[in-house]
Amino acid sequence: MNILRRAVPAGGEAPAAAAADALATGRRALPALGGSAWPRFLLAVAALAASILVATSVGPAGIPLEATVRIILSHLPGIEMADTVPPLWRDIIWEVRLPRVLLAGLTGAVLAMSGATYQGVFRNPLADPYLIGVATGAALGATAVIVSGAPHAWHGLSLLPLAAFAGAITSVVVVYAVARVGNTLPTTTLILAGVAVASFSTAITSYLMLRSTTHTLSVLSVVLGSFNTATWGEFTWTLPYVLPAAAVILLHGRLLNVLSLDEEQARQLGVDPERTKLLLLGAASLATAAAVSVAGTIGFVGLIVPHAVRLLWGPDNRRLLPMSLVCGATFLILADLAARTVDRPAEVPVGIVTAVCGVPFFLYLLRRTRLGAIW
Amino acid sequence: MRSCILVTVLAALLALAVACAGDSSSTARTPSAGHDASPAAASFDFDCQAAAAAAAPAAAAFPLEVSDSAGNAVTLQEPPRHIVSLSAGHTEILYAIGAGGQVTAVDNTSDCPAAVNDLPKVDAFSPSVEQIASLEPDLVVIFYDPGDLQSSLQALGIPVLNLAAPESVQGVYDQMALLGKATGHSGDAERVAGEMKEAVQDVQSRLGDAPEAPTVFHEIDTKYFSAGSGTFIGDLYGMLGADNIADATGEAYPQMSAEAIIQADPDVIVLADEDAGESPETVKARPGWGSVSAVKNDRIYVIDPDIISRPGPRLVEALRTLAGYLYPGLFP
Repeated sequence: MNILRRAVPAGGEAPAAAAADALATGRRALPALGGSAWPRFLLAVAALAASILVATSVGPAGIPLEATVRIILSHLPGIEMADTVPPLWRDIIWEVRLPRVLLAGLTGAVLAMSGATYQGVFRNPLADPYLIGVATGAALGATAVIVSGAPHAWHGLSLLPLAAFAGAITSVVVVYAVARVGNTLPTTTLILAGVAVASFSTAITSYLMLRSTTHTLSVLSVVLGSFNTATWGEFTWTLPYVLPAAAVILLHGRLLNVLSLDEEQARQLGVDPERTKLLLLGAASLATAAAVSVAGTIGFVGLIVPHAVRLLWGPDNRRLLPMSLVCGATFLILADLAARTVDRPAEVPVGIVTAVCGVPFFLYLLRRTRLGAIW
Repeated sequence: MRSCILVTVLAALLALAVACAGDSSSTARTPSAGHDASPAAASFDFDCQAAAAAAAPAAAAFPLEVSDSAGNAVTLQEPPRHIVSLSAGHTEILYAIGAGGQVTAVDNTSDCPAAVNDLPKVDAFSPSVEQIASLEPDLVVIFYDPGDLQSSLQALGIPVLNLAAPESVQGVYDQMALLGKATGHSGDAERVAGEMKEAVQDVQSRLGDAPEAPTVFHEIDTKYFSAGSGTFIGDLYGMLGADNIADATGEAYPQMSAEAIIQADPDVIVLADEDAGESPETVKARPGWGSVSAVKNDRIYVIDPDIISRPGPRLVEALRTLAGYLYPGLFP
């Protein structure tokens, strides 16, 4: 029972306490749960920092690393070291490449963290953040704007992310309203309603796409996902949704552990499963909707990254959630780096890279560790 | 897995979208601009608003056999008089070679010449065999077979020519000759193609004075899809001696990296995605594009996708329009 009273982000805990945790959550004690989680977490953060650096300094435009560093440092207050760098390079690094790298990182973080949340709440290893219609809703919203022929900008705001966001949120709210029975939210009903609504949105999107041949490319860009037109504006537009959502989710790692027990047991432990489910799903959906609205519906990250993290470091949500966040960011930054460099100066849709690179790695982990031992 | 399916669909639809840009909503604007440069020798023009001149087909050569681009041999006993055209480009070719009077129905993207707006419309992308058969055509021209369209119609005894969208200007001439033969307008087709070649030659002959080849970025879509060599659009730029930055990809319709475009520093940007809300102003407002020559020198142009993406008689207009964008000094 001590699990309920302990401070939330538990770093540097004793192995004994970890073992007690594992018992309390009704799971086998796994080697991954032993020892401190901090060294691994710091390693993951270092890998993320390195991937940001590499992704920012490598691209179709060959800009020397030294110039890249100068350009970035010169944006810190009081430092001016980019005098000698051509303005073209400054534009490419600061206005094109860096926002793209950061947006990819933010999207990867959101998708992986939300995926871990969904998997925990639904107690289903197949859950991903698109399970209850966020992606298809976003695609439908964006497609409606694209085929309407309306200008995509409105009072200086880009309509496309707004429409995608509205579509995603509408979809989730509809699914939730349908699945709700009194005060409870049966997860099976939720999944079925989600799949049904997603099929409906996909049908409409496909129809609109086929009806309007001139806009096929724009629609497919949304469906496949791309960071090619990322801007600082898009990055900052997602932050107000992503940051609070991430805070809520990360603070609920412990409750998510309890929730992954039987709901009845959770209730006995003093947790209100309905309220927690609603809060976690709401936060994960909101963050995913914001990410999808600017990045398109990039598949696979939300499913695979949490599983990979689980295979490597165990199922404890207090570690799984932050670790998924960091590893998701790293993974999508590197995937996007590949997307814009393997076929330069052309692009490869990033959703294809995530699948092509992610699947073999995941299968390797699966083979090595046996998911069943953990899930 | 979803992605893999999508990629396959993408590849198919890309070609379609580009080959057949324009939908029924664009009926209202069928510009015939771009021919203001009025050379004395070559004045070929295909005006969508002009009344289509139709001539009686020559029956002497029939029966005859033609092969379409899918490799099917099609036998025609006599000149077809009830043609259904399933692409805007082929519709324009048929009218240009004087076979307009034999056209019975067109697809819903065909809107030029204006006469076709009175004809029954067939859906271009999911055509109904039943509807087409009910029009009792004696020739159906398609540019893409969504699956069994050709065999279904042939099973009903309807000859079908499957002519894939040409990937070059020469391909347009070839299809004009083929459609001329199939419709009994070989002579007309040859004459019109000759006039077009003359007009093209006229534009090209003036390029000799060009100082140097401008680099160009042709934007099909808001996510920076472009057209490289090996496409009809790319061929137009090639004929104008332009340095198309999409050629570096070696792909037909590549998506260009934003930073690769900026790095390539195009002298001219041509927007074919005005429908999607792009304009010279929106391009200038893109973060990081400020140092691109085309932006600095205000050389961002909007082109009607219908004239540049329909392989047909309006390629002359497309070429003249692009020449004006690329070499404003030579084509005032």
